[in-house]
Amino acid sequence: MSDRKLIGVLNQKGGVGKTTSTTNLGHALARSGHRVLVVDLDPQSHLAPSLGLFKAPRRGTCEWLLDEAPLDELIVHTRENLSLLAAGRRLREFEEMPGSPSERARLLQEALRRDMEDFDYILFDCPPSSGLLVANAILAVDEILVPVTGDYLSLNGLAHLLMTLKRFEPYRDRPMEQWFFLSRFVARRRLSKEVAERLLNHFPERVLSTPIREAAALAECPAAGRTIFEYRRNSNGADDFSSLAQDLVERRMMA
Amino acid sequence: MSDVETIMNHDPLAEVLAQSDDSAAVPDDPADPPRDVPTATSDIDTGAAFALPEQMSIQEVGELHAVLRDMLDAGGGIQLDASGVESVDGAGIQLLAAFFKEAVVHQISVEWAGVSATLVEAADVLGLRELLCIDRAA
Repeated sequence: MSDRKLIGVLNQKGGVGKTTSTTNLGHALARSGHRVLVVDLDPQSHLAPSLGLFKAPRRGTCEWLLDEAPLDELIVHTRENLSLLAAGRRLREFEEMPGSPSERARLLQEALRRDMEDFDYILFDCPPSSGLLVANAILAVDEILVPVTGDYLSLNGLAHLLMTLKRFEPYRDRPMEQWFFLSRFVARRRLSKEVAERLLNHFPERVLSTPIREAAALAECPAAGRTIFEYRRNSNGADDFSSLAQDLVERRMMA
Repeated sequence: MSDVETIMNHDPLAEVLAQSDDSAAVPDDPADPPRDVPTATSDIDTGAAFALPEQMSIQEVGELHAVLRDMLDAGGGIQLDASGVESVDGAGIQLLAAFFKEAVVHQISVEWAGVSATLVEAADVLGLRELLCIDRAA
C-alpha cells in the first residue's frame, strides 16, 4: 500500500497526552473508515488498558521487533478498523538487551518492511525518553505528531525533542513531516495562550487546527477501558478528537 | 507576543531553533547505517546538565529531590557533575540511587561529567557502584 501513514506520537515530556491522543485519535480515524493500527512503544504499556484490555497481552512490540514474531499473531482487533499491538511484558527490557545500538535502532524499520498488514494509519505511542525505542520510531516513521500542553515544561520537552530529531536527521532516508497540536488545553489560562502563540510563531502551518481541551472525561476513559467515543460520545473530548482526526487527514492548520 | 501579557521569561524553542544546522552530526556517507545512535546511557549531547552540591546530606536532599524530579519530568538526557561533592550521607546516596532507578524506568539517559572520590567511596561502601554507573564516570 503506497499511501500508508506511519505516525509517531512523540514528546519527551511525560503527561502531555501521548497515550490519550494515540487511543482516541486512532479510534477517531477508525470511525471515519480508515484502517488503523496503534502500536505501543512505551514500556509503561498503557495503550492496552486504554482500549479495554485490562489483562494486557503478554507478547507484543518486543516480540515483533526482536524475535521477528509474525504481526498477525500479535495484534488484537479491538474495535472495527482499530487494531492494537500491545507493548508486551519484555519491552521494558528493550533498552538493556545486548547488541549494537545502531542495529537495534533500525529494528522497527526492518519489521515494517518484513511484515505489515494492510493499514491506512499506524500510530506509534512513544515513551517520554530519548532511548532506543524513540530512536526506532524516529528512524521508521513518515511523520511525527507532537502533543503540547499549555505549560513551560511541555515546551521544554519539545525543545529536547527537536534536538533529538536534529541528531537523527542525517540517518533518515527521507524527510519527516512534523505536526503539533495543543493538548489538555485550558483556553482561559494566560500561560496556555502564550504557549499557543509561541508554538504558532515558531511553527506556522504546522499546528493542527483543533486544540484538545482539558476534560475530566478524557482522564476517566482509561479506567473504563473505553475511548472517549464510547465513554462520552457527546462530550467536548469526542468532538475535539473527531475534529483533530479530520485536521490530520485534511491537513487543516491553525491560523 | 500580541495582546497576551508574557509570563515565560525563557523560550526553549527559540534557543533550539536558532542553533545552526552545522551542529548536527553528518555521516561520511548518508547511506551508511547510523554509527552513533544514542543509547539510554550514552551519547548525551542534548539534555540538561546539573552540578551536585558540595554537601549532600539530609538537609539538602529535599531541595535536590525537586531539582532532579524536574529534570526527569523534562525528559531528554541528563548530565550530572559530582566532582564537587565533598560529603554525602545516607539520605544523599539514597536520593541518587532512587534517581538512577527512576531514570531507567523512564528510559532517560544519565551520564556523569565527574565524580568526586567521596562519592565513589560512599557508593563502594554501600554496594551502589553499579547502580550509580560510577564506572562510566568521565
